[in-house]
Amino acid sequence: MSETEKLHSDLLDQISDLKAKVAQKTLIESALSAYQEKLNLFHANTSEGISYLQLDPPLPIDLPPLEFAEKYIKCAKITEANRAFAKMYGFEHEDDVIGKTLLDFWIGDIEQLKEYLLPWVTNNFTLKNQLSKEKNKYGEVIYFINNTVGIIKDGLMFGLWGTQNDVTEQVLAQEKLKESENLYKNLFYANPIPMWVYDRTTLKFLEVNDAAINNYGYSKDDFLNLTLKDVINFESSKLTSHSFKSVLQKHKKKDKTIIDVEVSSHKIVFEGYEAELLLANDVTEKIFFNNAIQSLLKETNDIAYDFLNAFVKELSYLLKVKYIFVGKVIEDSSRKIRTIAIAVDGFTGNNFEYSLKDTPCEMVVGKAPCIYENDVQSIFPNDHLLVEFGIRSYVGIPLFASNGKPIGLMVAMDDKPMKNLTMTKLFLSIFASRASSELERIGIDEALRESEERLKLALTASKQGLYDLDLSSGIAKIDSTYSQMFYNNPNRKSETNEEWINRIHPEDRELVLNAYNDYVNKISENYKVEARHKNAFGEWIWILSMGKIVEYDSSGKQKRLVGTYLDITDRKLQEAKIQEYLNTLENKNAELERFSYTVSHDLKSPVITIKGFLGMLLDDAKSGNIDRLVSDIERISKAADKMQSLLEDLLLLSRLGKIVNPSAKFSTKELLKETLDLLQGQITPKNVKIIIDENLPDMEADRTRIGEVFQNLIENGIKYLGDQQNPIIEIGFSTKNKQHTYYVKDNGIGIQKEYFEKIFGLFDKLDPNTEGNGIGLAFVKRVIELHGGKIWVHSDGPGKGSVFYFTINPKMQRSAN
Amino acid sequence: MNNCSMKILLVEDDNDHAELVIRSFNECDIPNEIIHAKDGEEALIFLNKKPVGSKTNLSFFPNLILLDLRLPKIDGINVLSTIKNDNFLKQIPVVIFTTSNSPYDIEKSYFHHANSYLVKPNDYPNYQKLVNDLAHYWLELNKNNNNL
Repeated sequence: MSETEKLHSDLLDQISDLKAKVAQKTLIESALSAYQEKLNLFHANTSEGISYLQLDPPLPIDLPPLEFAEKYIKCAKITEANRAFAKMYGFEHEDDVIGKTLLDFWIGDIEQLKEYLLPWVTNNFTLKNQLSKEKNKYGEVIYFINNTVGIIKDGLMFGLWGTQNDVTEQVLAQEKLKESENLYKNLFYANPIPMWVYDRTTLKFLEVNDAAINNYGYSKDDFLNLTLKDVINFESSKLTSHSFKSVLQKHKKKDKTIIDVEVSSHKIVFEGYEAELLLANDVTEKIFFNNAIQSLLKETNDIAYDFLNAFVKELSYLLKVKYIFVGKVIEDSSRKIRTIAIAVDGFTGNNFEYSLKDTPCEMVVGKAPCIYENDVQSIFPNDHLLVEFGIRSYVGIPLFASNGKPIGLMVAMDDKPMKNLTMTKLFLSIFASRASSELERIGIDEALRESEERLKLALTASKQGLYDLDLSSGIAKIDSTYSQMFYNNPNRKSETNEEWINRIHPEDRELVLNAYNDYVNKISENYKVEARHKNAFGEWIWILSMGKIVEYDSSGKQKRLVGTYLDITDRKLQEAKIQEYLNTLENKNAELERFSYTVSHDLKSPVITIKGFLGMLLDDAKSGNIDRLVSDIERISKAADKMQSLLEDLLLLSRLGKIVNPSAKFSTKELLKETLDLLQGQITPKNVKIIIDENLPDMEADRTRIGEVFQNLIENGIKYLGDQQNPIIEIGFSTKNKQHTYYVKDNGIGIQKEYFEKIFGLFDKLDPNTEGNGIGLAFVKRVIELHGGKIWVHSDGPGKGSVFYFTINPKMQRSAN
Repeated sequence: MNNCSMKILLVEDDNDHAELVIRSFNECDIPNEIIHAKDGEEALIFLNKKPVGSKTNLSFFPNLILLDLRLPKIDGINVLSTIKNDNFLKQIPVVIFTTSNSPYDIEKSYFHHANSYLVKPNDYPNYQKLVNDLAHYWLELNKNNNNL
């Protein structure tokens, strides 16, 4: 081959090689541009955020990591980003994020950011799937998974590419999950109810909570080596199936004690195991309580009369308390207690009495419940009974009667700390009101028994019958007096309601039934009725029946009426007699009244006659008609005679009638004023001067009568003026030893000393020629004496005037007659 | 008014009082005729309420009865209640004319349907005036049943 040929051939080779290279380059270029296009397309459309941070200036990569990180934070700025990136931070357009630095999105401080960057720096500036916590434009927390790669040339970093995915939702969901997991963990571990998780197939415990550990006595490790079968007491419980609700089981603790539990279980997956979550609620106390209550009620229900004994016995047995007793305050000394029912170790004990002084019971009776768990002896060192019985624990509950008065107490005591202290207190409290009412009933019964005894004695003495009626049956128990009274048979012991009603006088039945119904229906407060009953001999006798409800049944219904029958026939007869007397007396009074009316009106008759005919005489005289004169004068004269005799009758009457009324206080001066008004017709014509002492004290007496006394005395004075030219009558008083003496003094004819007494006699007149009928001073004397006072006269002799003195003493006043 | 004068039955045991009433009526300007019964029994005989003894029944009925309360034999209240319990006689006005002003007598009289209750005045002029007024009221002003 020639050189040329060879050259040509070489050239051709080179050309074809070149061609090939050009073709290859074109291919590569087109492929590259296709890639670029694809990349751009990817950038624009991918959901991944893509960004490029440029470092200005570029950083030497061999700087110490922290220093690098610090400088990097300062010089890195976003120069490229896609739309998705912008949107992740809350922006609309990729241009909005150009120029932002790391700190614009970082949620913590620079130090934290440095911390975050360190793994990337030390990992050759490449990291995959790193979680970052950042904030968006609105400050909201966002989480990203980041992939970054640094662009490095000649030992310098120029920038870095990063892609990121928003994982906020996932992170938050995970956080929530974690929170609730913690919550459930807490619920499980801190729950007061024992809980386990066990494998459904092997029944092995997988997890156990603190309550289970504490209650069952096993440690956690113990439990994890046990199966469910080791806890359930298969003698009395069986494992029915998994996943149930509220099933009663008996569980066995480590110390072999059996407890009642209410269990529920739920299917769960636990650490990959098909497991069961088991809850066991200890209901031992609840069941014990229910059983105890039932047993107590059963034991005590039918024993009304001995409830307390049955109660303390049963309670002591059930609660395993050594001593339980019910004590009653002894009526006559509230500081002492008598036990009514006592149980020792579940058996009836002997009752005793004790003084409350220095005992724990002193703090209870009438006060409040007291509990001493262990140290009661040391608190009440003077209570010798506590010492004697070696008592350490004590529960006392006060009992009150229905009226609120302290009636007693219930006490539980033990020589060791009480196992069921709370339960004991609970039971005593529950039965406190029942026990109170029992004590009250016992009190009533005792009182009743006592009063029945007393009554029996009284009845035997007074011949009173006794009945005790059962209201529900209508049958009364009767005593021998009663049965003797109505059946002439002291051995008869009872009587029916029918027999009772039939025995009552038909006219009285309604009265008796009304009284009875009113009492039992609480319309009246007492049952007390008098009625006629037919006795054993068919005679009607008067019976006073009294009764009282003494017992109520448990529902508060009246149960027993106890009362007495008293034969009051004699009294009734006497009452009838008295009534007869009263009627007679009333008739006599009426008669007397009529008599006095008659007399007073008859007294008017002659006046009418006299006045009437006098008027006619006057007319006749004027007209000169004298024919009738004689007969008319005769009529007048006769009328006057009639009047005279009537007056005498009247005077007689006045001595018999009512004389003095009860005392009352009055003004003497006013009384005198009225009296003088009455006497004006006598005073004025005779020109008598009347002087009344201004200081006359008030009197306490029968005002009307004292008025009459003054009237009589003044009248007397006027009557016996004689030829006195300047008549003066003076009324006054003097006081000696707090006793007032009143006087009426005149300056008239005076009285001779020997007549000082006589003038007060009835119908005694010193001068028959004077007007009046001689009773004035007798009347005055009588009134004064009835007022517990005295009257006397003094005169210095004829022509020297007289003074009438009198005293009254209201306390000594005698009533009429 | 018919020819007959007004007829008054005066029941009064006191002759003097009767005389006073009669004289007063005589001086009254209304024609009247007074029949005087001296006690309750006589009054009832006059009024046909008692069997005839020595006395005769009246052949007429009075226009007015003046009745004292305290009377011998049958007292005024009895006479009054007999009259007022008689279906026929009860139509005759009965005026109680007495000395008593006791509330008891007044009440009882009205209880037995007395038509009026007058207390005898104790002086002559008033006595005359009262009788005159009485006559005027009961015999003139008051419309009586003339068919009796």
